[in-house]
Amino acid sequence: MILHSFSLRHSLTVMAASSLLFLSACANNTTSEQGINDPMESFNRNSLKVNDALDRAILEPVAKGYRKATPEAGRIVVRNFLRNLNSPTIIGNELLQGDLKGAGNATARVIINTLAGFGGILDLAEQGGIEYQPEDFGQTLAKWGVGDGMYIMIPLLGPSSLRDASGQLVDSYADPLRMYLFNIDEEHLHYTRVAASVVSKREELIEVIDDLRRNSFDYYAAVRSAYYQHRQALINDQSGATSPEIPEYDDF
Amino acid sequence: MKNKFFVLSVVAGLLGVSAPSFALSQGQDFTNQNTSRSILLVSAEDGAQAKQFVSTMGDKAISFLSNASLTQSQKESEFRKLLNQNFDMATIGRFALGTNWKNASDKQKAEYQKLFNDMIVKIYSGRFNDYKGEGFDVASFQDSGKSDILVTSYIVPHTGSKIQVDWRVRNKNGQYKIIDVIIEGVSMSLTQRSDFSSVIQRGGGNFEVLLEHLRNY
Repeated sequence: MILHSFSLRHSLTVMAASSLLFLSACANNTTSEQGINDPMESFNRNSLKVNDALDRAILEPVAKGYRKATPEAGRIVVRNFLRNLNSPTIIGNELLQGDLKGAGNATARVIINTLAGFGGILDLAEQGGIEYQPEDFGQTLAKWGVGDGMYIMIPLLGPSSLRDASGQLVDSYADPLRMYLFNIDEEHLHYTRVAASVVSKREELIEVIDDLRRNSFDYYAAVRSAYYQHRQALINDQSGATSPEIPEYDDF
Repeated sequence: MKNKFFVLSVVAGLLGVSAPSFALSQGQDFTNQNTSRSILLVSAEDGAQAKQFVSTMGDKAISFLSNASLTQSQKESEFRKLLNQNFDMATIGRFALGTNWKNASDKQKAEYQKLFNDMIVKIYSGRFNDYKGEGFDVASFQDSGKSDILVTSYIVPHTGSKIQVDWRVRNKNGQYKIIDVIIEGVSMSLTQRSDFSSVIQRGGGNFEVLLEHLRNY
């Protein structure tokens, strides 16, 4: 959840990913009720404890402060702007997934919102019916048939899977905007963008995380379940259809 | 540059490990299958009725939520009414237990269902005051499973993005009942089931551990 800087974030992901590879070879195969592969559960549970404590101490107060200090209209402007910056990644992944319609939509969005929406601060495309559809390389890999590998609660970063963490790495490296900012020695702008994205996203999730904390007895299991379900919905580009079937019980 | 290659090789390694097969069309097939099934099983009439059912329920919810003259406890009793009329709480509670259901005694099952009901009421009662006049649009339907209809709706705030909420609706003896609520792809029932099953499993398979949590909620 907390992304301090690009380099820290990435060295951590790489470190976590490579040590996970080693550990997973030694761990027992444990599968949750939902069929999630979580051989690293005890490590993951500790990571969640650390992440949760850091979140409560730093990120959550920052997100709440941001909500308090910025009127909703302002926060939407920030969100639109950040989403617009993410367009190259979305278009690239739509193409890699062979989703030409999605790529077309994302392209139309960036053109409309950048030109008519004052550099992306207004989401005129959405008002015109072309909705924001987040795509990333983790989703692309899933579309290509790559399994999630296993669940990982990455220290400082939050819930992920082997596949999605790898995807995130690729997205960051391949992001043309990041390359451009690094080339013109304006790395700090990239870090600002990453930090702003984290705070903006956390602000959006204030109620969701509150609810999950309050309404679950085992927060870890609830987060893991919600993460996988949410990812599955993103991968399939549709929300309800990926929900579980419910048997017709007759043994009450 | 060196660093970059290191990262790429790690990624390649990861992919190699978790990617036994590349099936490009998997995701797309899934979608197509769903659309064609919906033509086969759910008639337009059933779908329209299910949509109407969800829409009526949403209107009732909005009418008590936006009624400023009601006290919190009056709202709570309105909510309880709405829940019992429109939701199949027995099925929802039963699903949330998963395979642990058969390990519980009849007495435990009865207590569980009651506590589960109370928990749901408490969860949502805490959110009544968050209602700020958001709109509720029922958009479409599709069939799902043997006899269920998935009704897609959106909660539309005055500003900002709408939130997708899907309702799994089942026709039970001629009456529509909601058996799951799916918010942005996350099924409330499945999340609860994962939570409950983990609690029981970590409590050494003891059903009482879950009941104790529910009693204290």
